[in-house]
Amino acid sequence: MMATFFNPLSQTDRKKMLKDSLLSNEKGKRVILSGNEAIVRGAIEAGVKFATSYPGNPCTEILETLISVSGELGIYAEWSINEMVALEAASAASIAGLRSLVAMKHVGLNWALDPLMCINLSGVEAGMLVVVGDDPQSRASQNEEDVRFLASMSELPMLEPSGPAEAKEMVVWGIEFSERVKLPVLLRSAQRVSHGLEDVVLGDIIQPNVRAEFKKDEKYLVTGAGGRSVRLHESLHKKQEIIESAIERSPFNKVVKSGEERWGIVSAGMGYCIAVEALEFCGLEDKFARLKLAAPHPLPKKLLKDFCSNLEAVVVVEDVEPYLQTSIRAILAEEGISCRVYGRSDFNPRPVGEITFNEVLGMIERVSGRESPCINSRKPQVAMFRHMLISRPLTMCSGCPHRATFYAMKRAVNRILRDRAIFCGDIGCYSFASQPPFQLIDLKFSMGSSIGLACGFAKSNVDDKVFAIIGDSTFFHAGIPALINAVYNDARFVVVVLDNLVVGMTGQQPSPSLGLNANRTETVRILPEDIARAVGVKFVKAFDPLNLKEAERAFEEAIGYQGPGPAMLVARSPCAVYAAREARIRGERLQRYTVLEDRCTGCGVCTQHFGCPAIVMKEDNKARIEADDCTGCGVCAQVCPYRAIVKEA
Amino acid sequence: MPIPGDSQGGIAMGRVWSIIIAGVGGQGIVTTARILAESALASGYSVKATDIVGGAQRGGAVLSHVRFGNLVHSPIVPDGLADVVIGIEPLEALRSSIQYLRQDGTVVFNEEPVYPLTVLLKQQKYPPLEEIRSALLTITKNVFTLKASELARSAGSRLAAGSVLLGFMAAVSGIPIPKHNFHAAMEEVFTERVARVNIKAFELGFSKGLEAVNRLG
Repeated sequence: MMATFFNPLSQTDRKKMLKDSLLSNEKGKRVILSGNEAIVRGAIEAGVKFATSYPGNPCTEILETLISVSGELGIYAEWSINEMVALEAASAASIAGLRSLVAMKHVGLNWALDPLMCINLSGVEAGMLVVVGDDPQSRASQNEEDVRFLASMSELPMLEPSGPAEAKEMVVWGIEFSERVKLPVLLRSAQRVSHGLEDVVLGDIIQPNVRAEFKKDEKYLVTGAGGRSVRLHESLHKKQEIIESAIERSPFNKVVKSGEERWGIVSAGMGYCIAVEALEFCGLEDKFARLKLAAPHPLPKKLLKDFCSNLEAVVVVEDVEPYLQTSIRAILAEEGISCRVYGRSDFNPRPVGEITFNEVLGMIERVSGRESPCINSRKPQVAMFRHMLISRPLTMCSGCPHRATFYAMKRAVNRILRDRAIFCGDIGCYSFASQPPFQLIDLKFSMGSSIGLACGFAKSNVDDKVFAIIGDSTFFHAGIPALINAVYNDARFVVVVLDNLVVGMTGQQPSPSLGLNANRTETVRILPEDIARAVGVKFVKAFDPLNLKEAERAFEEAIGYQGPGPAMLVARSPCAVYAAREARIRGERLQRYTVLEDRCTGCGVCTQHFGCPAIVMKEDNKARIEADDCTGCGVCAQVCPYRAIVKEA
Repeated sequence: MPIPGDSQGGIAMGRVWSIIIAGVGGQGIVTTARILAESALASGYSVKATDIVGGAQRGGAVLSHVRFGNLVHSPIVPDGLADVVIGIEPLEALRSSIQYLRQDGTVVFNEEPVYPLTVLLKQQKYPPLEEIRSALLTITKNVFTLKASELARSAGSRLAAGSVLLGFMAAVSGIPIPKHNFHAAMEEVFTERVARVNIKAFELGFSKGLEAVNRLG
């Protein structure tokens, strides 16, 4: 059985029940929600009227879920073009008096940091929550970071839930607190919380009856002129006292302490859950006092002081960087408290990734001097069976139009340029072209960086032909200024926009080239080639990559273009997963393809060079197309040198 | 002896059931975890679960942790402490069992592999099912396999393989969740048509499980 890359049942058929839970007025009812869904329920309970987001793991499902009930609740919900715009729009709504929520992944906050560092100065009016989905371990991101540092930099409170139930409560509390302190509140939801499931107790829903109205005030003019931004900075410092005292008294701090303990555990978020289980596992739950923090920023100084003052040592449990550990050490040193503060960095000077249960056991062991019960070691199995545990690299789906684009591209490049080419990649499904069979991506950094990198290589006068390979959504998000830079500075390279009409990687949210917005109403269709022409790109060509001949010709022409400025190709064909789902909704059957066994020579072009996961080479050296996985793109039929692949009768 | 799957619930204080559901993106792992979580909640337990998903739609491995009991602290199953591993895909069953399954835990897995692209490109070799089974037998004697996708297809959709495996697991593992709560969870979570398919799939798996239990005596 071959890859089944999409499961339409799980997404569409669960929605009804979820919608009922989200809209339910039964206060006190227990329902199971994911972290992302619980955040949405919290926003509904708090009367949020305006929500924005850009898709990205682990928090894509927040806006997706919200859209499903936005009509009933009169909530405006949009997929913004990038996280910066999402944050700006949500801030304006809040300044105009609507409670707002904006959700983004950790790297999204890097984008939105610029406006955030001004909105923290001006402040907002109605409650505003910035949900930041963090991805320690970088499971579905280009990197891992630790967004807590951005909370202390922006001097904004950052709450951190330990599970979905607490996430919902924190959203409600955070929005109310934001409105009180007139500042956005951050909520860090790490992957294990966002994608967690837990029974959540429903609360009351507020349905505020407000009209947006902007009350002009000079504080919204954030400018250095006349020393205003410095004064605003000073007043932000002043607000810290109010924030600190509110966090100090927040209901989400939890202390479990009898006074008999010698040691303690301090944590926030999911780390706390792991720590409590590890203590019970070791039978040391009575020997360690426990402090769960509501927020990594600001830290409750008095609470920490009281908690640590008569303990010999505390163990700090946290993901990625020793952020809490360093801050707590500083607080205790300032107060002259001699309690030692252990953390990951004492066991591993350069901690990375999520903290694990075993790591916490090791820390507890070291501090208490007690050996923890032995967990069955799997070292023998790992050694014996390592050869069987083959990797499972991510790949483009069966029928993916990107595969056709790369196939045509590789043929044209091999023929004309051989290996004299540099391929700058970008964020999206097409980055899997870095792997076999194509191996066509040499560099990949962050959103939109392909075009900026290509500008730099081209202007450095490298001998190789330079390519920037970017998806439609990433182009709209971050590629356009870089394209203008290329035209403006006459950088000569080839931009390839792989336009599949949706944000493929995160679950096929609509992109501006689709012509539908978040709630699937029709809107203006924005095409990358129109933007290219408008900014002065002289060579612009759009083509359908499922027609391999046409695609290869387009690459030949673009490679031959000598300037001025960049050449731009747009390979347009809808995401295969999206197209298959739409076809299913319309009740259409997909035209599948099949292999004529008498014509198949087993040459392996379709499997080795094209690599569609729907095609398998059988034992008898004949290719076979798995009917369940074929989406009917028909490209393999063009790839086969023996015309052995045909439409299924 | 209690009748498998007809348990009326109730587990010892402090006892937490830990279940790992492993497979490849698109196989319905997250949905299967949700059904299990809803069934446990309906049986009166506290439930915590979490998914480890990275690029789930593009052939990557997906893992769900589901834990329930009177009091569950953390959704994350510590290494070597899972009571049950449900593998919707054989290789992922092995991978997650080595990391998570406790000694003498139960592993139930679908015999139908999903080949990584590297296998199709002949860069890696997919291990034979027999080797996967013998590797698992070094951890536990409770290794069960079945053609879950095929059974699911006969119930109406190959995507219900997770429900087939849930049914089998309910029969062989001694999990303290009564059968009717699985049915109720499916009726709650799915639309009527899809619920019918999944309940049928669950029942097919359950009777296969009973057969396996009877064979073992």
